[in-house]
Amino acid sequence: MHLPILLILIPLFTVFSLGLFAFFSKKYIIPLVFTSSLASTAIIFYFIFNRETRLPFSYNLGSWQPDLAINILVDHYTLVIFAAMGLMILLSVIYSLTEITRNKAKFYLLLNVLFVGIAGMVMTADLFNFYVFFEITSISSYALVAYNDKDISLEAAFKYLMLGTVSAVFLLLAIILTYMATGTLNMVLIPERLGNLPVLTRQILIAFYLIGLGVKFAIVPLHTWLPDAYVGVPITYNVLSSALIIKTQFFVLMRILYILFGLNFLQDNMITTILLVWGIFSMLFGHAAAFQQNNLKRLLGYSTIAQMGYVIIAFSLGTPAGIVAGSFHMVNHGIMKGAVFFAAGNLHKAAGSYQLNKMQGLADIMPKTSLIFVLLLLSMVGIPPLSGFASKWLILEAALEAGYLLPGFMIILGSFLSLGYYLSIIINIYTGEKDLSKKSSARAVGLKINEILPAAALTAVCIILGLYPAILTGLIDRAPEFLLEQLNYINIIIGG
Amino acid sequence: MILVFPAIAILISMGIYAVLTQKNMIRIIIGISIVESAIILLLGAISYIPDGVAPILDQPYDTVVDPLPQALGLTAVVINASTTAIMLALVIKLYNRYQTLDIHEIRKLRG
Repeated sequence: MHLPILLILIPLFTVFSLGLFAFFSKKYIIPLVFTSSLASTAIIFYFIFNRETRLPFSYNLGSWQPDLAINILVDHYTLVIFAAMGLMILLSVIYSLTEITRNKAKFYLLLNVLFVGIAGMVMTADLFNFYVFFEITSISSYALVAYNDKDISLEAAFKYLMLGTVSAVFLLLAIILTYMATGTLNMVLIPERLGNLPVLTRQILIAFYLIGLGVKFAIVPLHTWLPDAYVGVPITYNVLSSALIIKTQFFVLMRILYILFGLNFLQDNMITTILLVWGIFSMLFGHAAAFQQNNLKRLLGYSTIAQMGYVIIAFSLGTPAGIVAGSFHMVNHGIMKGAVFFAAGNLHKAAGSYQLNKMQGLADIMPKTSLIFVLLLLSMVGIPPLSGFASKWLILEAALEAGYLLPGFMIILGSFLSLGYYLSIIINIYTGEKDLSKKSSARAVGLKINEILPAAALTAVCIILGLYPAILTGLIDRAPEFLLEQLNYINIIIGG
Repeated sequence: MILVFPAIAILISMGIYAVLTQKNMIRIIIGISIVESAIILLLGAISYIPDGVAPILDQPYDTVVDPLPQALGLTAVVINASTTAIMLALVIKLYNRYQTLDIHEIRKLRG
């Protein structure tokens, strides 16, 4: 069965054929991109539905012996990102159909390069290929941030590029040091060889991995590129960045920490405690900074930083319940934030600006989109019948179960903080000057079906997950087995 | 050979110092390039074996160098070239907009 490698190859061949097709006729671009993302989504859903019989699954490129070959691996922990990919790839392509008007071929080329990188990063089982796919993801991200060709997007792209390149240097340094210490880059062979090293060496390695990947998932002192980058980019990139890219980077960091170093080492050396405190700090800082923003996209960017804080807290608890809760929030936040960005993009069509004071009274012009938007914001806060409540409840439960009372309190405090700034957006949209329709900037616009569909579909998913969270927990409940137990992961390749 | 590792450390520090202190965008890019080159030097240094030959095993050799860091080094060279290309492209675009290379004058974003 060659399905996992196809998940990397399909977008890769789309990239090459896009160049060819665009050379002959522009009208083949959209069908080609659509077909390839449909095929990728189908493969992902094949793994999701056949998880009991097919997983864990390892694919051996070139049929070398397992310790020498390039291994590609799909296990139950991978399904966390697969669940987000299955929804987001297709919906973001659907939304981008009308959003992207110039240089379509280039945009979809970059988008597919991004999909190659994400799929590769999630599935690869050695650090060499991880580094390659990491850089593929990063470079396409830099280019996509600069894509709109406005002053702010170029400036943000330069900033992101500086931080990203320096962080990539640290990541490469960590990978080289791992190789010097263990003599292999295969993630299956590293754990036992790393276990014999001095504690200080391993701590330095963890610090380098944390800095290298921390910039990418915007942990607080290293987050500065994210709000800037979010202002001037297409909504499609906003959605993909929030829902997939930063989640993938965090996903891989957790795999590196828990599989290579092991849960016991992390807990004995306070690494999990440091991460936990860092996560709380990240969350509170994100919420506090979101208060001061007057641009909707910047605000949502800071909110993403804060929500990543919840995920960091949940994962650093180190208990199976914590991993499940964190994974749930990773997918769920992707769904919610993706829908919020889609809806915000629709609102922008009427307001003509992302400045909050120019969005006053929008509910009169776009009642349905505003209603969806409000529902989603309430879900982000964690109001009961919606899915945000389910994920925060799971995290809170896991934190209390593991004996962390203060983090539990901080989670509730953070939710109240977020209620503050989301309420101010809601009040802004529903009240304010009613003469907006007279202004020249605001106009009633007919939304096309491909703009309504992604936001509506994700809102439906959000409500369904809020009522039946078991749909998603049933998908990821075996993830801790392959994250906390090094042997399970190693056996997939060596023993299987 | 002993001197290679301190040299790499000095190069990395120099590069990061340049990134942190310089205002000119071209100089920042040069700083990043120095750091990246230092990393590639490190990759070369850790695979070095005295009298080692390239690991093309068409005939028996006694000592071959480790090919994996060299392969990683080649990959890193390609990646560095592409990031530098994107950086320079952005600098050209920014220079056309603002008519300056000073990073502090290009400041529409705050925070």
